[in-house]
Amino acid sequence: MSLILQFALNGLIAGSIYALVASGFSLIYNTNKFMHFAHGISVVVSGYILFSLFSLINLNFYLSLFSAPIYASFIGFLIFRVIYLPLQKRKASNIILLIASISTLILFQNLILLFFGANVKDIGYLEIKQGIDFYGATITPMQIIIILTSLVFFIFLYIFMNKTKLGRNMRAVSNNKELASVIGINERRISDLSFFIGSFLGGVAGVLIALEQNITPNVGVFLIIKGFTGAVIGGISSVPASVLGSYILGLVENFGIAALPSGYKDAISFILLFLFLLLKPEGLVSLRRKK
Amino acid sequence: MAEKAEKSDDEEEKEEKPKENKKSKKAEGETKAQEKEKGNSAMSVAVIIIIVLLAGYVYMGVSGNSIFPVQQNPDKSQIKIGFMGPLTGDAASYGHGIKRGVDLAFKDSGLENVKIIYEDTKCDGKEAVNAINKLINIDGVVAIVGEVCSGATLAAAPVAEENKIVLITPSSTSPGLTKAGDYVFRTIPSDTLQGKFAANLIYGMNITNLSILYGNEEYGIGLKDSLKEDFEILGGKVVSAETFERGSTDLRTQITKIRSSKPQAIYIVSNSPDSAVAALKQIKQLGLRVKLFGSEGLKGPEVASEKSAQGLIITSVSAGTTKFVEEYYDEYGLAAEPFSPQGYDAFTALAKTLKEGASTGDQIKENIYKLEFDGASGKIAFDNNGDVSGNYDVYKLGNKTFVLQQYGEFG
Repeated sequence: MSLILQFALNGLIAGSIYALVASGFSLIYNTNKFMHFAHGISVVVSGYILFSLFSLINLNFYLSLFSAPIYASFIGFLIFRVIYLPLQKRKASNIILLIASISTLILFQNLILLFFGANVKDIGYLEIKQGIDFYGATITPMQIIIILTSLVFFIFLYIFMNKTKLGRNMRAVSNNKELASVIGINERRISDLSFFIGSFLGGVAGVLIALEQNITPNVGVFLIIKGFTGAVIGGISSVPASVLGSYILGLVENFGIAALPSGYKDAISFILLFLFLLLKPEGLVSLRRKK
Repeated sequence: MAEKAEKSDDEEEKEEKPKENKKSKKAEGETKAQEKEKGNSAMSVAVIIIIVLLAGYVYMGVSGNSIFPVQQNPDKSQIKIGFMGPLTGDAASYGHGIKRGVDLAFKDSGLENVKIIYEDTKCDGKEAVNAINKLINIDGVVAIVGEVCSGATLAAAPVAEENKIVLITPSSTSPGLTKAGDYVFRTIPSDTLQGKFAANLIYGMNITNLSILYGNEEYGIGLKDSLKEDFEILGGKVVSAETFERGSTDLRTQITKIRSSKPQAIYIVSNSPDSAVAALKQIKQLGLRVKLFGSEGLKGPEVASEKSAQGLIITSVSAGTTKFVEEYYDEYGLAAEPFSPQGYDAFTALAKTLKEGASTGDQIKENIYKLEFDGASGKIAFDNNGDVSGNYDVYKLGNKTFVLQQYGEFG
């Protein structure tokens, strides 16, 4: 019993990080209608900024912690303005944007490698010790913070998207760009905003994973793959669905290797991705069906 | 640094903006399209320059080469030696350590007319095959030091064999490499030896229930198999063996499974520092209080500075003779890194054959089999399979440094 609970907790912790990445990815996808794989950069940049500010410059921990995702959101915004927007202006197809986003991801990964080296960077703020006993399962305070933080952000995001004018405008743009611009919504501003918010969420995932595990230049690529998989499973055209899909991915992965040999962990997530793309490309939660 | 990068992005953007404005304000008519095209092409030139510059920085960063190498009397008789290893990616720290060892050996060999060509392979089999083909067919190398990871070396070995070019690896320990071919050598002993050594060491400490956590690749599987076999011959029991993909940092479920199998000790096989550090942290977080052992892949600065890793016992191939360690420190200001003495020896072996007058792959191969010398990692002599025998040391991690232990009766 406690073993099952432990697997569930492991899945939830992994799922929370995936979901933070997926929510930003899906938000950007919905407003801009292309795959922003360079989203992984905001995760990894945020982790490295936390590392630089706190571990290298010795800035106050909380100041570093809270400013890192803000920098990440600016980086996301700049990627949009400097790379995607000029391409979009030239009527580049989504494939071009996709290729651009992948190359940006690789470029930034290598820039980080250049500046920081390939070594594992440890923030070293939290002491690693045995977690708290929770009905026979073990969980560390940091892991509880991860689960709660992501939940808080999802609630904020939900309120923003549904209760504020700006959020409703954003949804309008994602539903129908032309119609939205006809009724006077500034599409560019909504795109900017989506990159800001999406990258901020990615940045939050970055600082959490830097604190909980460690940070290396490869984290971004790894997490964007998982986030993308989670988003596809849930339904990429809806942010809450992507979040749900990511939690499911985390749980399935961890329960899967509880039963199967652990070497199949990535195989499980990719088989899941494959099955969804093949059989249910719209994801678990389909928006179209509701209409 | 990241802040700086961001600032420069900002500037770039500011520079681009006025251009856009200008563009949109241009007069209509025929000229408009032309002007626009001009503007566009000017901008694309600027973008290309920036990309080339950035790529250049990255290239300089990873290879340590100058972007415009100064040709020193291009000479057709120049002999080229290839180097392939991970200079980027999660195993890059090994690659750089080995590269430093190779460079030092090159310096010490005093060979002129020899040039080393570096290829980054990221410890990836596909990249290794591309790199070896490039080195052999385009650069025309006569021998290659590399690859670093067993899987990548095994992928590249058939190409070396086919082209009759010597491939000498400083760090691939997979037992599978023993039979990889006549042209494939290594300056590090096979893991069948390390498995046996580790089994004796662990069993000798009165541990009978062992768990193995290993990387899901050639190196991990090879060492796991030989350790399991030898440990069970001794009378111990491997109660669980869990695996992870290289570079993955979420090993909680694997560790949960290990925890439920109630081992007395865990032996970790990893050549990815990311995963090794994550594993050690999560073992502690999940409250698994057992003795921890590891393969030499864990013997790096990342693991050493990890607080939760203190007390870890490592079985490792030679970390280099005192002379090598001192020379390395004088040259680089660094403690000798994992596999850098083996890298030094791999290049030295090639250098010795070149000095004896070998110039083709065949000649180098013949001469290498006859070599015997005292290298940076100890005595080097290759058997019929191109393997070396070797002794292992035991290190214990304490106070953020690996301390050599005396376990004379083992091994």
